[in-house]
Amino acid sequence: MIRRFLTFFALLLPLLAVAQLPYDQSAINRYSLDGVPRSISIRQGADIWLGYDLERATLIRVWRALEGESGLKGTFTVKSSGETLFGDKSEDGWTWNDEPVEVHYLGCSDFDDRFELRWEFKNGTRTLQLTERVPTSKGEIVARDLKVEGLEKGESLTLPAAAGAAWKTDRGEAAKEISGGQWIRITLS
Amino acid sequence: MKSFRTLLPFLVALLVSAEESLALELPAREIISPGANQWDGEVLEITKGRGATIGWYIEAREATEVTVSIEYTCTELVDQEYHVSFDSHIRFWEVPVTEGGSWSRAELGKFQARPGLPLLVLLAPPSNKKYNHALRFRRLILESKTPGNLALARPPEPPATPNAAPGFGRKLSALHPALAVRDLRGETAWRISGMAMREERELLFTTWDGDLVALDLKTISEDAPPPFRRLARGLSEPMGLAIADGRIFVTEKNQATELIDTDDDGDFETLRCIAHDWPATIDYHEYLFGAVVHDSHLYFSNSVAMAIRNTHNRQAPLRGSVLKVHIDTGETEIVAGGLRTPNGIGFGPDKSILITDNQGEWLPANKLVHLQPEAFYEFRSRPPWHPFDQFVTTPPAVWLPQSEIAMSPTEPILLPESWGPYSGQVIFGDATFGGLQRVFLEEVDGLMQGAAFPFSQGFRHLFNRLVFTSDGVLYAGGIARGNDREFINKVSGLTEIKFTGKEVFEPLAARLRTNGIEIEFSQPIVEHAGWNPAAYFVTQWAYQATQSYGGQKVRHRRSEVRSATVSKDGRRVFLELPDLVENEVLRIRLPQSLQSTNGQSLWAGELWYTVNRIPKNLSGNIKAPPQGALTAAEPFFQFSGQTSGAVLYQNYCAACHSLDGTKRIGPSFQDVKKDAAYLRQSILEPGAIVAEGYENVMPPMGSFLSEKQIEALIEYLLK
Repeated sequence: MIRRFLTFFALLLPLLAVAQLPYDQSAINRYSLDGVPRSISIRQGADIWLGYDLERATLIRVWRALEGESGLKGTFTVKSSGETLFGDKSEDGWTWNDEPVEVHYLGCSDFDDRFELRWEFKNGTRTLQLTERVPTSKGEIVARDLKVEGLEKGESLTLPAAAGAAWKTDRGEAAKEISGGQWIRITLS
Repeated sequence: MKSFRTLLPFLVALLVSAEESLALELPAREIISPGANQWDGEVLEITKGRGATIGWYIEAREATEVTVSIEYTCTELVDQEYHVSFDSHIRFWEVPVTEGGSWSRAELGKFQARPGLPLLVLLAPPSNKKYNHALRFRRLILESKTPGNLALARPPEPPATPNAAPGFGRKLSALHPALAVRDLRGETAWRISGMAMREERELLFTTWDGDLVALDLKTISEDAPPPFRRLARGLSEPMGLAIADGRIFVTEKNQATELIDTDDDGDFETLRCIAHDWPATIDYHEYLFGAVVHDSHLYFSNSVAMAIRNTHNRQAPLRGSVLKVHIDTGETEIVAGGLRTPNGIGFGPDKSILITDNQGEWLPANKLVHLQPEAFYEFRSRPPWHPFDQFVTTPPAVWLPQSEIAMSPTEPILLPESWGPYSGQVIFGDATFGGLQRVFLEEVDGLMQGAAFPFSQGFRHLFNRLVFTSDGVLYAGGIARGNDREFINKVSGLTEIKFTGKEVFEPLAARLRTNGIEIEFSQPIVEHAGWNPAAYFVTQWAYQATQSYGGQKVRHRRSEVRSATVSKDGRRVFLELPDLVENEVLRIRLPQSLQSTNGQSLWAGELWYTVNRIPKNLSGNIKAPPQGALTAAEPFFQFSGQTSGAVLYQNYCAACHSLDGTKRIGPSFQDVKKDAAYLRQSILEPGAIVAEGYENVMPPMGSFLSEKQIEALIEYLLK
């Protein structure tokens, strides 16, 4: 019995090693989403998905996978599947001092409890760095944490219009802009 | 009298025109091959872009400007331009709609004709398009300023093919005698897309499915599967891997990425996007191919889209480029343009960078390209053109004729010193043709050129990526497309290849001279052999790229070998070739009967040399043969013609279609209709009827097989 258990455990070990690696495609999918070549899909909790356009640093869709189904269909190009909680098909982007910014995607990190995306925003000679964290554990609400670095005192960075209208700060206000170099949690209203 | 003088020039002109016209008609009926397009009497109705060779050979007595026009009708707008090629000079023609289907004449362009070898004039429809309305045309008209200067020439009859054997006109079928291989297939069939050594003993590879895998080479044992360790996953279709100073770089589908393990726990949780500053779409075929780091820059190529060929055929800007990205700053530069499916990048001699590219539109054959700044290698789609596009393009270092020496060439790699006589040469794999091919390179007049040699087949799987350990052991990774696990298991995987140092008799190198070519052998040839020029079957041809898929050999002809001179040490033979022409390929067949002084027969007796430039003032030595050296007991080559169908099958079809029911990329001939008309249609228009359970990935063969070859192939398949 013990021998059988050990054999079972030994067989399980490699699987466990695989499961511990970051970028498990059932939770983080880096193939093109919904026709956007440079995009990423991040699962929050069991069934909520957030889809980003990495070139524009915008959230394009939040959706809930249908019960018992995956939120993504396809192989090397994927399509979101489920109930839409948020969608932004506009061309609106981030603005800084009322001007559009030049966006450079810097990369991402997959940690145990969160997924992190980073961008650089340029306006003339000045640059900002935006970091966005998506908590990956199951929560009551759909949440994102944002931090912008490089703003001067009194300056703020304005979210794309659709996001500003749909997401709220922890004070219940519309998340239209962020400032201050601190983490700001915004949730889907 | 005065009035007669006035009339005289007119009368002379009238007399001349009666005998020798200024215009030459190229009738539609006289084209090389209609492909899958249909005739209506004297008119060709073009509805399909691929597989046809709408061309004529002409001859010019003297250099002159020629105006080319077409007589045509076209009732609906053709949304893409036709391409006209005149002796490799190109123009594009936007087709005007003709009123009510009436015949119209349009000028296609002005070109420069030259005397000498026949010129090829081609009309190339938009690639791969299928129209429900035809462009109907009945002739091209060529007008020259000199009466009688131009004449229609018969298409040159391709030379008869000598009987073939593996390594002699036919693909090799066995492992090179100086190689020892070990199959490192594990329980998983890895589809290997990038390879690099992290340290002396750790091999890393990426897979098409998005993994980064490590293999400690010292832990491999004979009696257990290799202990592969997955280090990362979730990469987006990586097709290149490079390691520099311990840093890991991957070329993913749409970005150049550095993999970082911030907390040093062995997991790569951070993917730093080094750069993605080039446009991309979601086309399945837009990859970043290969990865090499040189002077703190990551070099790779971005391939072109394919799914769009049947629709608008517009590429995203900058596709087909070689890019270099600074590994720290991400600053991105375009190095070169005009590539198509450049699935292989690697270092060549003297830190040169070499790239392989696959036959297709604008590539009449596969290529090994020497990367040069701001070069344009000829692939186009439609305007806007690549910023480096220019009508005078950079030739490949070596042409790799389709199905003769390559079909889908992959990564090239420089052979290290430990590979003895092959050191300093380059080998590359092939994702369809299989095996390893070898290339010798030299520089002539500032341009790289050289010869390709068959090197080895006989491996378990196809090779996509290659890497050497510091002690000269080669690791080769295979890849397979599709979702059929059985097929993937068959052609993917990892193989270890060691050079044993065993002496093998084969042509080692080929160097061009002003008056011919010198072939170097790995061992001295037996005394008195090699002096007879009849022992060398040499053919030559050019390529003419068009927007249609592939292309036939241009002016394919047998070359005169005027003399053969063997060097004192018996290791070199100089072939005097009086008809060398720049921008052509020489194919040289050696006789199977040739032996070395130690009694070995040739392992392979064939080479393809690309003549970009003919060296000046570098003549080969010609000597009179020793007495009795020219006599031959029997002819060096037989021309029974009986094997031509079998050779065509082996070279063009066997990689994808078996004869015995074995499953490959396409259906086995055992499972398809034994019907000449069906086979002909499948050869000319593979997409017309697609066997159930298979994708149509086959190109129409009419653009590179002659009618005679198609007949021989069908005859063989029906048997």
